[in-house]
Amino acid sequence: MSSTTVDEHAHERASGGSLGHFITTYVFSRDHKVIGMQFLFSTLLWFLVGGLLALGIRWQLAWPWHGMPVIGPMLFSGEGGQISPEFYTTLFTMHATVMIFFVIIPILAGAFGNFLIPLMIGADDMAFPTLNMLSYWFMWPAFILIGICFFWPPYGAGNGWTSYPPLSAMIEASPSSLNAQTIWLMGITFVGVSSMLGSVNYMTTIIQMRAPGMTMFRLPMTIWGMFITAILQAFALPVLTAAGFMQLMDRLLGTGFFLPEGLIVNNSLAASGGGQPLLWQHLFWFYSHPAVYIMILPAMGMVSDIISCFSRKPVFGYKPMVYAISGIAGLGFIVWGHHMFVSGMNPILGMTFMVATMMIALPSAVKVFNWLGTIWGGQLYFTTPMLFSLSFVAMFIIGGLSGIFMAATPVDIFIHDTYYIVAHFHYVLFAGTAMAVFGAIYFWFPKMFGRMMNDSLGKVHFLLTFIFLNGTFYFMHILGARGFPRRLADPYDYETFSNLQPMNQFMTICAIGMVATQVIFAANFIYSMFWGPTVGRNPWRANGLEWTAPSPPGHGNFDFQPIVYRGPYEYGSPEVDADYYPQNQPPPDDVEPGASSSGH
Amino acid sequence: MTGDGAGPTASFLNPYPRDYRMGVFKFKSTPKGGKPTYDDLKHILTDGIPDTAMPSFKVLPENEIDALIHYVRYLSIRGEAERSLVFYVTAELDPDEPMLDLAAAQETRAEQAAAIRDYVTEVVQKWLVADSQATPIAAPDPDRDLAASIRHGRDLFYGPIANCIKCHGESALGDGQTTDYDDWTKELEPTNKEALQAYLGLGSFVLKPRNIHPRDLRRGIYRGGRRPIDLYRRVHNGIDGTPMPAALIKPDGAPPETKGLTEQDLWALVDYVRSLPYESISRPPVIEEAYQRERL
Amino acid sequence: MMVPVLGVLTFVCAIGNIWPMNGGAFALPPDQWLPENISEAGGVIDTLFMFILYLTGAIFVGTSGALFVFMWKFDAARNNEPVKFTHGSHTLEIVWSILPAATLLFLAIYQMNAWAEAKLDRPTEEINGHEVPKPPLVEVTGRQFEWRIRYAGHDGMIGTPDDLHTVNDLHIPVNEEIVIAIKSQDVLHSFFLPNLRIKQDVVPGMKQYVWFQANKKGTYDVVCAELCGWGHYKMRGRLTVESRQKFDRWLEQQFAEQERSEFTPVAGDEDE
Repeated sequence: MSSTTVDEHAHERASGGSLGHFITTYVFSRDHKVIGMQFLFSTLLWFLVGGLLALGIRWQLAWPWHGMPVIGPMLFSGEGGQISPEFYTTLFTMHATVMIFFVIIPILAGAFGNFLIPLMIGADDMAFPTLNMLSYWFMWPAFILIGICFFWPPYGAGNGWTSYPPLSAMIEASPSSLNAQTIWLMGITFVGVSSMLGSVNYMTTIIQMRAPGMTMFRLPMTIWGMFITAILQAFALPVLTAAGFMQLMDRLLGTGFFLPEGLIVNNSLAASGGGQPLLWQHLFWFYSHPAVYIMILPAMGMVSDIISCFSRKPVFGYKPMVYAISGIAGLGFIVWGHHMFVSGMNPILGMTFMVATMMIALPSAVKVFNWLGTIWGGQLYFTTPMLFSLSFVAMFIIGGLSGIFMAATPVDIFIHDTYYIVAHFHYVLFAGTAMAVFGAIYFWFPKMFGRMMNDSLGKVHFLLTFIFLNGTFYFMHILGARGFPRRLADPYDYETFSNLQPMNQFMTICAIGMVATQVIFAANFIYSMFWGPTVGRNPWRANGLEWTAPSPPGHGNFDFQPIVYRGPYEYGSPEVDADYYPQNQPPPDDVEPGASSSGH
Repeated sequence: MTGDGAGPTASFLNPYPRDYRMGVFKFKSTPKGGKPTYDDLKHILTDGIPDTAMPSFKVLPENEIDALIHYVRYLSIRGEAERSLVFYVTAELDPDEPMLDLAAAQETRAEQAAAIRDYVTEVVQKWLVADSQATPIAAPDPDRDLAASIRHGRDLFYGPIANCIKCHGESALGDGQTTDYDDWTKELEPTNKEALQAYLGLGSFVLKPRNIHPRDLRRGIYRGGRRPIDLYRRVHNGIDGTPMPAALIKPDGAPPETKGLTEQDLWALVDYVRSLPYESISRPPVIEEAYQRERL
Repeated sequence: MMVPVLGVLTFVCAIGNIWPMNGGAFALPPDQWLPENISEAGGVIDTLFMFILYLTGAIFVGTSGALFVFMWKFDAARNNEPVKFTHGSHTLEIVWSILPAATLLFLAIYQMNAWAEAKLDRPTEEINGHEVPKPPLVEVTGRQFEWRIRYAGHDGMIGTPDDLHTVNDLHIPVNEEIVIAIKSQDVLHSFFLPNLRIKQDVVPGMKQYVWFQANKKGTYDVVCAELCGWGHYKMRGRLTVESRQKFDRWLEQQFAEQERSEFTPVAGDEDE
């Protein structure tokens, strides 16, 4: 419930001017919007870093052992300008680590979750603003640690983001298993703590601080996505953190959680044994599988909002959509073994995980059908956010369907640890979530900054990104079907893969194009932040509560207490003349409040 | 790249990669001081060296293996020639005297070049004769009583002539002595504190000196190869560059009180060593049980 | 406007891609999408792969087609019909929940057999009237960065003094049911035979078995499919499938070399 108004906060601002005030307002702020912005800027910068690391990988696969032009002699002078095998392991490890932990999860939960949750539910801030601020600042030790990783010989952790022991648990097992791996583990722990703090905050805020009239089934799908994601984070992260500590202990204290008896690696005997390498895999994937749903559910929610707005039509099947999100999350806790079908786990367990994994395709399919139902019969406006959101649907179909191949365990025997898997998760994470994130940035930019991003440039950004990403990632399916393995610095020596280099070169060129295209986005973003055309509260004529606040909202968000009368998707409602019907608009006199045709 | 055994990954490997520049190779068919033959190098390249990071290149085509053998020889010749020239310069020449003065008269230059060529030729010559220096090996009697031979070998192993247990330990686990160094490390004077500090002070990239460990003979892993002729060679010729000595050979027909080992003795030792990994104490039950997680 | 063009363009690209047979860019002919299969059980995996490909292909065409048709038909720039204000259809939800569920369940049950054959049903043979698990022909141990291979000697048991040791060089007789024991000496590796559709992670401290029947002679790759360090990419082995006679002869030859106890130096030198 809002107890402060914008006036009080304006007074506070006017009285400031000192450095201390600047620091508390913009640096160590407890305002959820500022924190959301901090997350947004940090993650976008790390997106660039992660993208460049990916280009390193693609360079090596296209032209193995060739020196990179310009950067090669600068970075790899000891190797004659080429990427060394150890550095290649660092490249793919850090690319994944940065993208997963510093980009996708924080941008969904940290940037958009923080910014949108109070605004969409009609609250003036999060339930625990200080905890919220800590959740952002806990990311900084992680940023620093992982950043240091890059500069500490041998220049980064290189045991895969999955960090399987004994490779990662024994210092002697790999050059990347020296200090860099320890620092990496500590960085991951900080990220985990940050997410756990955030998730507690989101759950409490959504349950406790909704505006009057905002029942759970009147929440926008974005909030449902964020809410379920917060539950996933809260329950799954502790397992990863515990596993991380266990691995740290194996490395530093000589315990043997993951090291079997009498293990000798590189002529060094492990300090102790009696452990089981598969234990790490179970613990790791128990978190990391829900993590992948953490990385898509908020995006699905945001896409529902955007599609509904630009179809001028309610979301088709709101309750089934909510149940589908919950189903995906619930089932997500019992499928982790599908990453381990050929790991040495009991094959009977493999069968049980297979059945659960097959079932998870069902709620995802239901969601796709409902999105199709949403646009059917609507009035579609192909603005940039709409384009990105529709492409999310199309690309998610591809990514989701390719997952079925992996769910089929006999097929997984062949495609496990090949580029088929890489194709699948890049389709859902990049062609899916990242596209949704772009769309969300274009959509909520006016609310964040009071200005519009350029729509034509946005469409160019969309088209080029779409073409290049398909050029880069589609062929990974073909490579994977060939058996082309992951994480191989030079696969062309093998007879089976020797003729696949041209395809890889084509993919690299597309990848370079894709990263170059993001310059358009960056330019648009930065320019529009300062010089874009100003807009009012609701440039998209959308229904959500956030669009009733000023653009950008002041401290305390709303200049009046919102009261909610209906769900968030009453576009094209017959009750009013306008083609949208905001949640907090009182119904016309001849209609009973709360008795709208939406039925909830 | 220079064949100095200190490539980018070297500091991480255990044991360190070979430094070719001393021109010393461990696993060959020639006696100590001799160079490996073409076949010796080929054997190492195709089979690798078990228990080390040296991989097997068997899947490479013949011509590539041949090219590699020639390149290894080249690196060794170059390295050894450079080293001998360094000794030449420091020992024979005055501090200001250049090895090859390009500004000097034609005659002087020719003299200097000839001196250099002599040193290099000396190095190359050793390689040229290597193939003919290989130790011939006569097979043992195939009908010999293997158990008796093994018992005889055991006696020799523990006996005063061969004295294997001094380094390989009383249980042949390689724990007889652990404080020695191989020749490549001895050059760095690791026991001399000042020299060691000076060396380590060159930078974090230098390879820290490590002790050399006698082989644990109960593991059944033989770095130079597991064929009987390989083991025979190790015992007969020792291992160049390491404290493993060549055997004191008692020629056939020598008076009985001559000290040394006959060919039969050597084969007995080889039989004994080959039997060690299969002795019951080499395979205590607990190691087998470590593999109790059997899938079907 | 731009959107219909975009829609068609994307749809065409997508179709071109999902059916490489139709000549999508850099398309490989259909018989090259999967590497050559030389195993009996591998054929089952390939069939399953193709079945799922056609099934998902059809679903993809259907849903993407619907997407693009709707994008075209309901484009506000051209469509003047009022919005069909609805919150959903209970019937549709049921239909499109049951149908996919049934399909997925069918798929799940359809492939259980193949999985059991690949991972659960280790071949057996009859010895003295008892069914016992078939003993392995060879033991492959993964190590950083090579495959150490050990064949049973004449006594038929692996782990005795008469075993044959080789590195990276795996020979298998053709048209026979083979069992291989796989282990790891240090970190996780994965024993991957692409042409036999065999893959199994090797875990230190765990002994596992893979089995197959190769039905074509030739040389093929052995690939490591689990990150094992900086040399993961060079952990290449060679699988040679040959007739039983050639295989036996190879074993004898290798064993003779391994037991070689005589050596005569080559006369003269080999340098040029």
